[in-house]
Amino acid sequence: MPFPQLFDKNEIFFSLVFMVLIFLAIRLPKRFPLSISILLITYGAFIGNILDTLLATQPLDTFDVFDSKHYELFDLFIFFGYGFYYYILIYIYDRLSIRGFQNVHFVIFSSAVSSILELIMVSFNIFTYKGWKIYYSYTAYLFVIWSMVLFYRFIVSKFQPTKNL
Amino acid sequence: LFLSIIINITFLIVITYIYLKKRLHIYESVLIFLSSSFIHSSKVQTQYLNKETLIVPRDIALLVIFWSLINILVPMILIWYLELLYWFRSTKLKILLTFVCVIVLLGMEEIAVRFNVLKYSVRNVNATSLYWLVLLLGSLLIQRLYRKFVLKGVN
Repeated sequence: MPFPQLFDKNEIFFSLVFMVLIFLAIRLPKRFPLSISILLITYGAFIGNILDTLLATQPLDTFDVFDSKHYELFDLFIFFGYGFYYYILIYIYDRLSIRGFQNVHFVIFSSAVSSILELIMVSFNIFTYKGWKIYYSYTAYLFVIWSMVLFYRFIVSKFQPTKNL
Repeated sequence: LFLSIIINITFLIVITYIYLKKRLHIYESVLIFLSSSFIHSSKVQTQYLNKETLIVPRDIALLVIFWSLINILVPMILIWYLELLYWFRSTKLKILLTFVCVIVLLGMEEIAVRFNVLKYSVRNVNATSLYWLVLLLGSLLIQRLYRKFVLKGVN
């Protein structure tokens, strides 16, 4: 997996964002056991990987990530970036004790925030759209954040004693 | 035809696993599924984007099979491998199981090549076997490390 040929503004900006996300994820007061935190981050990376791979490679090829068409080290980092970002979203979700219809408000609002953050990423050339539109991203975020909430509720419901392991 | 066979096999593997009396904690199964799918998908992307040794099918049915293999079937085989590993007591059986799983994964890949789901410009069976072996043992390592967190986090 190659390093980027030119370490320019998009890599610098992403590195800063990535460090901030990791810092936040570590420094926030503990709300989940480490086993759940690991699952949430991995699920975020997994869903980001699936969607980006489906949308950004052949045959759809609707946007590029970073400068090269190749799969670079920073492409790998961006998936972990998604993981930490979605983890922080779920942290906020849990902190606000969202129930019932508030779930819909949370998903709609956080998808809007995610879309705005994506626009900032686009302005730094982390993503280069090739026919892709930001409102497609909004729809994708609705799906991803909703699935993230469902996943979180599922794993919390399975939290149980493990004497027999 | 191949699409329907793959969907049926995947469905069968998933449903059987759900109803099986499990040795793995649900968190471990989920983590193995997510992480192995992520690792295998990254490897495949490296193959077709960087080295260009693999060609992604254009046909939509083949593409569905391609992504089902990467994101569902391979992770499910790895979960089954770990589950069976805990069922067997003897070390010999565990080693045998590891090699059987490598053969199953190689066989699955071979069938995919025959049906044009995977098209390799360069294919090295020894390297692929080694990759599957490393993936199986890597998933075992991840599961062993994660089990400590599960025990610590829950009790």
